[in-house]
Amino acid sequence: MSPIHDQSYRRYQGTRLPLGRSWTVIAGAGIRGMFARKLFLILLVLAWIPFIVRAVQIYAVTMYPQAGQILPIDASLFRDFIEQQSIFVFFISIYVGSGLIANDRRANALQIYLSKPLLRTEYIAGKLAVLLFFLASVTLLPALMLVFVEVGFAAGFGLHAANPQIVPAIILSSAIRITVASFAMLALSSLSKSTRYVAVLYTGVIFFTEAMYGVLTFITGTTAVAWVSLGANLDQVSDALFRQPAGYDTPLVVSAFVLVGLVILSVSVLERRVRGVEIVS
Amino acid sequence: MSNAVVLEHVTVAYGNNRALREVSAVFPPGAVGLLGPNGAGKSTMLKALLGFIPPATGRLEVLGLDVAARPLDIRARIGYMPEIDGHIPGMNAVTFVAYCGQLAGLPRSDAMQRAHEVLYYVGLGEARYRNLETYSTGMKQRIKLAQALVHDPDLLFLDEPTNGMDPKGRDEMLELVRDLAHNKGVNLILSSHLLPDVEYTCDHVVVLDKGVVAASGPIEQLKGPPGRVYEVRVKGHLTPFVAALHDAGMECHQTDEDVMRVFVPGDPGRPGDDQRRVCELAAASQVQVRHLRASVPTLEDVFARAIGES
Amino acid sequence: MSDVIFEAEHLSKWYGQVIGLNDVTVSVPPGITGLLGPNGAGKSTFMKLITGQLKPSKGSVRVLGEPIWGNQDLFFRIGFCPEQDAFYDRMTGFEWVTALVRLNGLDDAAARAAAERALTAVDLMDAAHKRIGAYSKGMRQRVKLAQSLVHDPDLLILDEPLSGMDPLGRRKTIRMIRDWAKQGKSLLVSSHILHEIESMTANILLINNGRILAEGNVHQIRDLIDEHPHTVYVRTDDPRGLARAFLARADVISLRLEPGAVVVETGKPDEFYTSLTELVASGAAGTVEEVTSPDDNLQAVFKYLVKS
Repeated sequence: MSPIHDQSYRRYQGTRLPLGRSWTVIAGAGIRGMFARKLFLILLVLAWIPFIVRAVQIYAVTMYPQAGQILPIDASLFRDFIEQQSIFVFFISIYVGSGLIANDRRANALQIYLSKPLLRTEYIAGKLAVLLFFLASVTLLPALMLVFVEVGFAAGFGLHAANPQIVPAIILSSAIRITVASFAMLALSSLSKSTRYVAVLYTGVIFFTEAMYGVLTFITGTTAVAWVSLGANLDQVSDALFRQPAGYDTPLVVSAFVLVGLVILSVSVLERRVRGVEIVS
Repeated sequence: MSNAVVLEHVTVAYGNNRALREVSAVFPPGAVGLLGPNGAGKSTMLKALLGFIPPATGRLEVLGLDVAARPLDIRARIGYMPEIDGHIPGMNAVTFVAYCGQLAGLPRSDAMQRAHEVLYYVGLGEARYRNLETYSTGMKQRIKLAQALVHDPDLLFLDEPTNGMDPKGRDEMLELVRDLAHNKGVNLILSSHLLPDVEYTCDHVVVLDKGVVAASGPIEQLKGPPGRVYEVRVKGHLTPFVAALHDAGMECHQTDEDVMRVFVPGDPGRPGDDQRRVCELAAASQVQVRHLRASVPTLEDVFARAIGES
Repeated sequence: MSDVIFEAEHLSKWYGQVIGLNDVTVSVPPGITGLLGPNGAGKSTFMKLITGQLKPSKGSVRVLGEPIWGNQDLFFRIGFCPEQDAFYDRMTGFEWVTALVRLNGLDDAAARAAAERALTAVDLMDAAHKRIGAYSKGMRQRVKLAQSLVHDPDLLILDEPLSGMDPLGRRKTIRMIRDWAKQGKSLLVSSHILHEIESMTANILLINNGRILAEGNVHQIRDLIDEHPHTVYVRTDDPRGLARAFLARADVISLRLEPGAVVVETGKPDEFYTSLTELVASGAAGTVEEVTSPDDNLQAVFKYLVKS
């Protein structure tokens, strides 16, 4: 070997990982980026307060069984908990999701991503994973923790033996909620270059559909039109999974259709907005 | 050594508009310039080679791999330096370049190491911990090159690499490109409107016009042999010198650049004879010859000829 | 025509703490002048001061004999082609140029005629009635040029006028610029592409760090840069023979042999070139095929003067 080493550009002789992992890189960078933001961490902590409240509730009922008449511990407890976390799902979707693709579009990052060896699907999957991760951390995770708390205090699986649908329902209804929210938010984020605009759009759509539902219900006098409201659809499906009485008159099939339709619409929007063809000038 | 890029009867159309029409071209290894007027199909060709648009007919091959069959494998081995600025929001230079390395398949720590190396190579060593949004134009160009190099590509696509850079930056960037092509064995395709840049860095060119290949080949070959026109610049009183040239039967055109073009008629003698005659006349007219060279067609002449303009 | 097209006297401009131009005094003659300098040197500040878009913090700038700031009548005699793109994409080229020249006070018919002339001059008449949004980069650049000369100004200030143009467009525009100078207009052209400035003019203005570094003819400036002796490349069939002849001379500082050529450094260019001319004429030192000076050009002047 020559005693004088070449300090300039060298060829790379190391390993190259097989393709298909880029989505983990994208997800990892996105998640790390969010953890660096203090305000967001505060939001995450706040999202766990209801969990603490429920845990205390379970403790109280275990200690004083007579309280169990006012605050029963059954499947509806978990269903309610998940439904009530949807407010945090809303805020976290906006905080984490509005800029996920919009920021990349504004900084012209898509041309960089898509010139790397990754499929568009991987890019979308990576971004989706960031949102799913945080949404799961305020729905699925605390709900499962609540199960542990309940089992711990009850010192037994009695509740679950009687209601075996609880744990699967927790998993499925959380999954459906966060999946629909994530796809919708990601699709909106791909429509614009401005995070703020996407946040406003998302909020606007949710409020508008809720308002429409309110108006239509008032006019028609029935809740059969609940399929207009996203929240109502999700609740309908939740109720069915937890084997609770339905909260609205809308048939379950209709709600399921709307949710699936929303996801399909989001996917088609993403397919059209995340493309390589526009990136070369 | 096999060719870096091969196109065979490639047609790419946007609706009814055929941006590339039955194009067959070969980009040999080394540094190749891709030239053409605006709208000639250069960016379409690039998009097709990156795998973004499937061709309506024909076959594209990059580094021996079929673009239709293995676009991802190809992208793992090529680097693209885009014309338009772009960055990943919220990252500094090192993080950004390492991230790009990871996206291209490098393990995390290797990507970090390569990022540092490559940033030093392109001249951003000192500024590598700064946020990309604070970068100047010259620095942004260098970062774009760094992210294209981090995974050690076998083929680089460079689109107007000196865009917006000041003269010193341009020189440094062109040196880097030349170094990569001639000393480091990286094949590259350089697309630029600045023909002297292409001449300095590339050995071959492919000229596109209206969706077809108008000319291609080694630059020296396309230029052709020098003629018997000489570029002459002198210092001193021009009028007697020009008169003397006329008397000797040499046509003299004064271009507004301070270099004259002198036509020497008659049969070519031995090499150096024409130059000697010009200097004789200059010495007799008491002017200093400061520049004397056989006028070689430039790449601009090649370009103009290929596009069909006089 | 007077021999000064615009001049600055102790001209300074600062933005808060940041100084754009620092006590600049210069007189620029008519004709084409190239404005050069690294990024951030003060070129755009200088151009904005000359076109009256900025008010000097100190000192004065006079264009065509009069102070420019707030001088509406004088604006009409100046044309400015900025570097940035700022268009209404929905207007056609023709509409846009016409609208801009109407701002100068021309009536409808005169404005349209002027727009036609300007668009013909930049070779854009056949695309003039298409929307600017559909134009290529080169066409957008030409529309900008058209608007800068539509009112037939005496002084044109062009900031990177060739950007985005393809090689033929560049050549045409350079020729156009030289034609305008022949018609009597003066131009200040700012660019980073030194060889293009060289093909327009030998007269330059070099700015660095907010101050003028050099002004005037490139070759004269080069001659004055003493610490860098002139390099002369001589291609010959007998390099060693020629080298022997050079070594005998006092005006040769150093000499280097390359395949088929001798490269000489001289501190006394006038003497050296005179004797070189005679040497070649006499044929005493073999046949000489080429004499060039790789560093008697704008590139070298820039590099030697801008040291930072």
